[in-house]
Amino acid sequence: MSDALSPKSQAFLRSVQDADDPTRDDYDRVRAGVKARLAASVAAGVAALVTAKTVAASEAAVLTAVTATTATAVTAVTTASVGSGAAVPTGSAGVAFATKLVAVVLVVGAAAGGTTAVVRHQQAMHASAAEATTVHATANVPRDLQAPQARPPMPLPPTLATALATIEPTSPPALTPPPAPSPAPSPAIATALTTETASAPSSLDAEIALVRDARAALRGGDAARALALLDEHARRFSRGALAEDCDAERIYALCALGRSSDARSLASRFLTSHPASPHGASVRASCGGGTN
Amino acid sequence: MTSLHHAELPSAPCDAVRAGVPVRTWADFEALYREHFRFVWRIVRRLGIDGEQVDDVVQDVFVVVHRRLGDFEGRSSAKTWLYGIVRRVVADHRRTLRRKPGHEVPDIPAESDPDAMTSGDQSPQASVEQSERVRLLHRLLGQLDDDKRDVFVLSELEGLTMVEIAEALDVNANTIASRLRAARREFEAALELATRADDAMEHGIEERRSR
Repeated sequence: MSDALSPKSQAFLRSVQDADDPTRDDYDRVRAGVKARLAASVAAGVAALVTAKTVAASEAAVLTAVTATTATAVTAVTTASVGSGAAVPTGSAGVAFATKLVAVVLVVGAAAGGTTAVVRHQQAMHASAAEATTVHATANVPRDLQAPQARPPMPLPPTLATALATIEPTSPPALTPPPAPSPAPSPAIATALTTETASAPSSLDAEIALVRDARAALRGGDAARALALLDEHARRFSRGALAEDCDAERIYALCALGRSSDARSLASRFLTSHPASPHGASVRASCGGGTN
Repeated sequence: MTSLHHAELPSAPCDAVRAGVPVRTWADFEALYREHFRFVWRIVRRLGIDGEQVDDVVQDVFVVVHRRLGDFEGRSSAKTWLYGIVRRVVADHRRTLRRKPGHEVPDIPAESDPDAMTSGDQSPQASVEQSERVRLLHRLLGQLDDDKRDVFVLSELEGLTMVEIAEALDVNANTIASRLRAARREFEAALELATRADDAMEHGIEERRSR
């Protein structure tokens, strides 16, 4: 290469060489966000497919479908609507809006139970801020899948992003409201609801379901059952997408069972093999984290 | 992947979804993320994305990466492959923002995010100077056109070879070489101008002080 840069330019470039580097926080935050979106996209992909076939379904049809769904999905709706009831702004549009929200939550919930956990958590997170934006964030995913060229804005607050991974029974993470309001939920998703959505399990769905159940068991005080579910996860998905989350969960379960030396050895392995894990802080704060 | 939207698959939505989201490749994805997150983040910022949008764009990049992991197999360099994705996502992002009222896309990044800087052991003064330099870098990069900026960033800041850059941009090496020459000339001239203006200002301040 002829005409190389002058020494002055080279010195300047050297001085800013690493200035655009990410921090550890950036690494963790984006990783958790990507993970949550990938988990959600399994659910949303199903919804998107169904949308392609469902030409014109009205909100009434959605409501009908709501009543026709499975028991778990209905649970999801109940939980979610409690959250959104507090979160949705009151007013003339409020009711219709709430209906949409519930429908969106239901679709996601029906297609992948684990995503429901995220949504539910988000609802809880933002109910206090009187904002219902988090459901919209979930609602963006299908559009992303449908039309990858036109990128919808996807404001994922860091706490939301980690929600999938860090729903902890004892110490809820510090919550901050999202920085900017999101666009209105896509009606396409609401109309996507058919019974078909409920019948599309994938291995990620199954993983999510296991992790969710394990967390629920642990939260309900049944650490032994949580551990059994985590063992099942390890058996079925040894290199699963949520293996890291399960390992963290296992540490908490061991702590709950009073097996702190097991927890400690697992925690130290965990922190070594996942130095940048979003669970790092919680693991360190657990009984497995030693002095901390 | 592009077929998801038009999928006319009444019977097998599940398979189609799996095809778009290959779960089995998660470990590969994690490895790519771990190894190249820094590269992607840096590139995104240097292509003129700043503030909170960096997160969005980098996330988008990795969602696309996950979707396209199959395309990566057999490629020699992850960086060249990733750069192609980053470029497209950044371009899409700019287009989307431009279409939206109330959003302005400055060609020249107005601010750099000081949080992202590694200023651990610097004095406040030094860190101010450093963030000035970073701002200047982004401004100078913003003044290059897209083609020249690509080549300049990859060569001068990321240290890729001509061959790698040619692969990343899918342009022949001669073209890359001439773009790089042109980019260097422009960058040098702009840097010279900027620093001279700074010097002049500092002189002015000194003179006023000494009076």
